[in-house]
Amino acid sequence: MIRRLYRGAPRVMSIRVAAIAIVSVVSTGCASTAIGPSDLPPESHPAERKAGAFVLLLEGVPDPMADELRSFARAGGDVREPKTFDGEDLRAGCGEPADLVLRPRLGREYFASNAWDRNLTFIYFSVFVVTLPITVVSAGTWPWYAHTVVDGQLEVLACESAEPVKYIDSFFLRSEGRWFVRTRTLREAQHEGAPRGLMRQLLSEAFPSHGSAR
Amino acid sequence: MSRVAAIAAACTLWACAGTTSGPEQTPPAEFQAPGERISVIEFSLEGASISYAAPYEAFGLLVAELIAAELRDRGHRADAVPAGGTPTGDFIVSGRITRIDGGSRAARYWSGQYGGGAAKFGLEGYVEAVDQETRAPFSDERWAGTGPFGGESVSLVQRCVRQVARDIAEMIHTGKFRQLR
Repeated sequence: MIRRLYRGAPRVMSIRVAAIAIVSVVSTGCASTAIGPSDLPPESHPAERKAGAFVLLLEGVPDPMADELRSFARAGGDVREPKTFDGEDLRAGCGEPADLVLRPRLGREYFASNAWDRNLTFIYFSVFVVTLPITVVSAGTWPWYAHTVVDGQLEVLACESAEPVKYIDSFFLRSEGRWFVRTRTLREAQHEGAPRGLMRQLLSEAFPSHGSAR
Repeated sequence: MSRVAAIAAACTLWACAGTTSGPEQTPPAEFQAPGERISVIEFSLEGASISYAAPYEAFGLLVAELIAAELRDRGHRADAVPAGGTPTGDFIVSGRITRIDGGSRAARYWSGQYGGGAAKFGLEGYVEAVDQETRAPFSDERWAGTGPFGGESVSLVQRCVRQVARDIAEMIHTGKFRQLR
């Protein structure tokens, strides 16, 4: 079978091998822009706090969510991050009455993409020189997509008030594009971007008008 | 000859990618919910018929987010609400997933064109106005049976999920709701 495919034409064979190699490398190793700036909600900025600090409880929180919350809090004033925090009661994080305690949590995360099926098809079409144009045309016209859905919550306790307020929400990150991309690139970008987007959304709900907690 | 066969196979494969089918549906019943704020609540998995090896726990939320995204594309103000969240819309969309079936890749490879081994996804639910007692029930199911080398079950189920979300969003947008017979 292989001999029939490649019979008597070393030049054609080398073109085929090169084509398969190029398509394989490009479709499994090349990175398109996986997430655009408009795929995430805008950052929220808190009103500057004259007294008290933001107390961030970040144990077990993924890095992108933690980074987003730190960046939000630093824009508004003093920030404290207790290294150890025992128990569920947010009040244990309060230092003075004007403090604001924030505890985010990430729930479920689900990722899906058609990149793997696409790449498999491109590699298959590259076996024959005659079907190479189909690879090129397909890569330009058949878009890849990747989407991730995450859910989570943000608990906010103004230390001078009695009860914490809990915000529960989900975030859907979807990106699309053409040409070549590998699944891992998309998965990693979305794994980083979706919790970040969720955190921004939760913060915009908790601090709707650049002011104090709702 | 082998080249012609290769081109024919390639074209068939390419042309079939992305298509879904589904069971017969009833004629539409009308219920208008245009222009208002719509909350799509996470669909539950209670009582669903599930034959699927990959993770599916977040499918109810995924389909709610996809429906909300499709509604936004059609000019509505829509958001998805996870279980435990508080819906804020004037219209509420809710329901349950009825079927998640990954099908059989081997069966699809040999007879996918004829429906063999198809991946399937179905749901049912209703739209209701917060301040009214009227409800518009809907149900939908999609099947996908073609893909490269039979197609990966995860990709095909995703294709069905996306198409079901498009169908439901279209029903809400046009106000013409259908149910499976």
